Amino acid sequence: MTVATGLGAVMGYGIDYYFGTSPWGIAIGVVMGGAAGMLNVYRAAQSMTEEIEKNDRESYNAKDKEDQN
Amino acid sequence: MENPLHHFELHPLIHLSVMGVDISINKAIIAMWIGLVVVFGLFMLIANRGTQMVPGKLQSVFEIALEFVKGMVDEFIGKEDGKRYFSFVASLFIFILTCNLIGLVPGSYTMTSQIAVTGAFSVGIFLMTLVIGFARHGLHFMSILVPPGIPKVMIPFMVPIEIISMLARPLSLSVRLFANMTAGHTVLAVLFGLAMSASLWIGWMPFGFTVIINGLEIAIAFIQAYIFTTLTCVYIGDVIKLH
Repeated sequence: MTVATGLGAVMGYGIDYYFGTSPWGIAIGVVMGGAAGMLNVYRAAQSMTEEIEKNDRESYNAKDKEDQN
Repeated sequence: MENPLHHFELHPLIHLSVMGVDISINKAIIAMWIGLVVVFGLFMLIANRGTQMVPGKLQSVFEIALEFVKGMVDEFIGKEDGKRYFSFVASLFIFILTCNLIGLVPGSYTMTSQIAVTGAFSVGIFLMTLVIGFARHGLHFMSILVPPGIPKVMIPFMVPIEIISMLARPLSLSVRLFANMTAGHTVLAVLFGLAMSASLWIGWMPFGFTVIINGLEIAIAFIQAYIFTTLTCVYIGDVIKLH
């Protein structure tokens, strides 16, 4: 997450440097980078929940079968 | 007391220069060669001896390692698609693990504590995922920049965000491995410096810690190699499945 924010800041700074749009590039870059970092965290959390739910369902099903037996 | 970062410094052992490009041989390059020789030698040893139905000690270690990588590839890339990338991911895992472990031998060099090395790995992987994506999906691959199910108004905002989050992947991949290896070895060096500079009646304590941290470092060598290869699998799987 920090890496994405930093990268956004650097890219914004680069845009400022080449196009002379200071300070807009770096300001928008930091916000965009932070959003990208949040997005990465959100995706990671989502995939983890999916996995946990899958495992839960499997163990639940296995338990169900055991009960039936 | 010696500078704890001293052992990361590289000094050329043999000066070489080809057409103005400095390719001097230093400790890191020799450590890398040793890593290559160890990996290649061990695998060739098993291959030449012929694989047995009832595996010997060495064969079963390598079978476990490869089965482990196979499980990772199957989970993140997919059973069918994963077969094509298995050999790449397996060699990556075993090479990084060997380099991490070679660094723990006293007097040798941790190749993965150079960001140039980890950076080369991760940039290579990043370019590889781009090539795989374009080869599989053609120009439709660009839709990876637009997450599914977002309103049209959001697209101009999401595209730069997705570009940043994609570019952040190789960066964090390389920094993670490099920082973990560097930090671990610095801690070892600091503790050992304490042990050497203190008198014996208190010096045994930091020395004991170096022994414990060394054990921890072996675990970290395995964990970081595992994380690096898992994330490689995740990134390859992402461009293959495309959402």
